Parts: sequence; structure tokens; C-alpha cells
Amino acid sequence: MDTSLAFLGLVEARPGYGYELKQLYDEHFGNAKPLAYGQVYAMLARFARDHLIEMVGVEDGSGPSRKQYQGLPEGRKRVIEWLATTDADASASRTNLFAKVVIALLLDEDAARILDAQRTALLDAMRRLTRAKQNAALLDVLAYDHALLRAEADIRWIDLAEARLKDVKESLS
Amino acid sequence: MTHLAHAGTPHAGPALVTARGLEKHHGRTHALRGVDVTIRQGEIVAVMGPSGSGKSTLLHCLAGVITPDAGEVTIDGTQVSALPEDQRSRFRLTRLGFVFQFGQLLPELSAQDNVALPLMLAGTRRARALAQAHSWLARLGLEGMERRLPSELSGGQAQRVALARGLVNAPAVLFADEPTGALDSLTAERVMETLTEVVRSAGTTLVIVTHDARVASYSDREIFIRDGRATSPALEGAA
Repeated sequence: MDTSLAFLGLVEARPGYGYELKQLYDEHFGNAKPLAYGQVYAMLARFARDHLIEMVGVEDGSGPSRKQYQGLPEGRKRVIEWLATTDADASASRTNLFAKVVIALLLDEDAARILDAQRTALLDAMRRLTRAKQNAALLDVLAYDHALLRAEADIRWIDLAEARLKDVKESLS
Repeated sequence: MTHLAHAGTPHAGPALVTARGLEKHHGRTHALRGVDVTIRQGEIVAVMGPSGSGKSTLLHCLAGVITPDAGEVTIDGTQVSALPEDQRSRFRLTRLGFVFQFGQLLPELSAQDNVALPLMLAGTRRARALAQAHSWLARLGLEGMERRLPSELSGGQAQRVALARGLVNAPAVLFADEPTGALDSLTAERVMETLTEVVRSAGTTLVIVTHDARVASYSDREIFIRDGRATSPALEGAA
């Protein structure tokens, strides 16, 4: 995920103080990795410098002054351009599991057993995701869906790899 | 979201379905090669494996639809594989439930009549059977759909009717063969949520054949069939 553009998108959608914007970001996107305050203020300063957003108010309190920001048309344009870029990945990735299967075959180890163990682990992970999803908020459900489908894709790859194992071994020898 | 509960078998009781040394040939194909399976009361078990691996054959042997060439199947103390056909048929009707990929509802019968059918075939009076069918349809969110024909139902609704029919006789075991195979992803998810919620609250054991990992993710564990042989991670771990 492009943290900076997602954060800019939030400022464009919901003007607010830095800490409010950070909370909104963490709520929507930050479950695994919340934003650090330093990162938030650095991004806001950079966006303001580049005329993507502007400061619209300052509130003085007992601590540091709080600055309120809102988006500018140039910022919105930048975000809309980002939304229009597509995320299809056509690279044939060599994952860790891919490497393990190849090395197992080269070492004459039991690659099918390795695939089995991975399938079992993935199914177990899918069970935990499915259970967690059942009582989750809708945005989390969407994130769990993505994780479930990625795990499913890995399992389908394992099924195919298993079916091709004999041929792959021959091609390596 | 990062803290996920452990997967496991939260509702399992004593062994309910036991198969030992199952062998089955289809012509020259050796479909099952000495399969041992133990399924406990209240478990949800997914039977998985590649096409032609023997998973449907295993389901049919466990459910007494076909008899194995060798080995035995015991369900709740009854050795099903040793029963003569008429008694096996009676056992299936009264103690087991079935759900298939395409529902297989009778097209000329209403939803309620379809659900009541297993009860009436087992000898329950029509009025009583219809009342129970009505109650199961309501439980599965189909109130008001009782008089509809299968052709007047959506795919998801038809499959819920099929679930109600599978559960109406309060089976010891519900056998499901790719129960969401004909449904889109969201409808399949809702059917699986309803199915697992209902069987868990009723304490029904569910054996579900699927090639779909998302369906299997509703189970407590999987039995994997390959070339007619079974492996089960949970059982291996417990051994």
C-alpha cells in the first residue's frame, strides 16, 4: 500500500487535525502497522509545502499548538491519478515456498511432504481468518476476505505444484 | 484483527463415525485403498483432495450409499456396512442427512413439501412433517417461501431449502458434497455460515466434501484423500 497517497486521500476526504487524521488512518489501514506521529507530521508538512493541502486553523492549548488541515484541488488530482493506476501484478514471483520446493527436489528430499505441510498450515490459517471474520466490522471483513483469497491462491498453487512435481523433478535432473 | 483465536475442534465429543480398512474398486480403478477414518460427535470435517482421488467414494461409503469391497463403517454404534440394503436405506432415511451441489430439490414440489419429504418417507404423519419443515425453513431464514417451487427460488435460497431438508430428521451426521459449488462467492459464504451455525447449535456432525479451501475453512479439520489413501493432520498429531 502507498502510505503517503492513502493518507493524502484521507486528508482530501476528511479535513481535520493531525492526530484525528492519524486515528482515521489507523482505523482504516493501520491494524498491522499504525502510523507514527513523526511520520504523520512529516507527511502533512510535505503535502502543505507542495500545495496539495493547506493549514486552515491553529488551536492553542496547554501543549503544542494543533493545526487543522484540508485538501486542495492539486492534492485531490494527485489522489485521483493514484486511484486510476491499476494493481495487477504480472510478475512470476519466486516465493520462499517456491525456493523450498526447488531445493527439496534438487536435494532429493520429499517435496510432496513439504507441500502437504504448507497446505495444512495455510488451511489452519484460513480457519482462524474465517472465525475472526464472522464477528468483524465490515472493513475488517474486507481485509480478511483478501487474506483468505491469497491463502486460497497459495493452496491452489500447491495443488498444481504437486500435480507437476514429477515433471519438474525430471526437468531439474 | 492481528489477534486470531486458535483453530481447533471446540465441539468434538466421542467417536461417532468410524471407518476401518475401507477398500473400494470402480471397475479397474482402485478408488479407496485401506482408508481409516474417525469422526467425533459434533465435529465439522472437510474431505479434500484432487479430482478422482476418491473423496466422493469415501463419502458414499461412510454414508452407506455404497458398500465397501472390504472394511467396515460404524455410525453411532451401528455397523452400517454390514446392514442389508433395506435396513441401510432405513438407517440413511432416519439417522443421516444429505446435501448435494445442486440441491436436487424435486421441481414439482413446494419448498415445504421438499423439506417434509424425508420425514414422510420415514413414516411421519403429513401434518407433523409439514410443521417441522415450516420450522426448519424459518430457522434458515426462509419464512414466507414455503409455497414456492424450486424454480421460484434463487440459488442461495434453493440451497437453504436443501439444507433444511438435510437437517429436518435431526440426523446424527449430515453429509454434504460440494454444497456451495453452484453458488457465487458471497452466497456461498452465507450458506456456509448458516450451515455451520445450525449444525454447531444442534451438535450435528458434518462431513463435507469440497475442493474449495474457503469452504474447508469452516471445518474443524480436514481429511485429505490422495490416490485412495487418507491423511488427517489432526489425527496424525494426536497419534
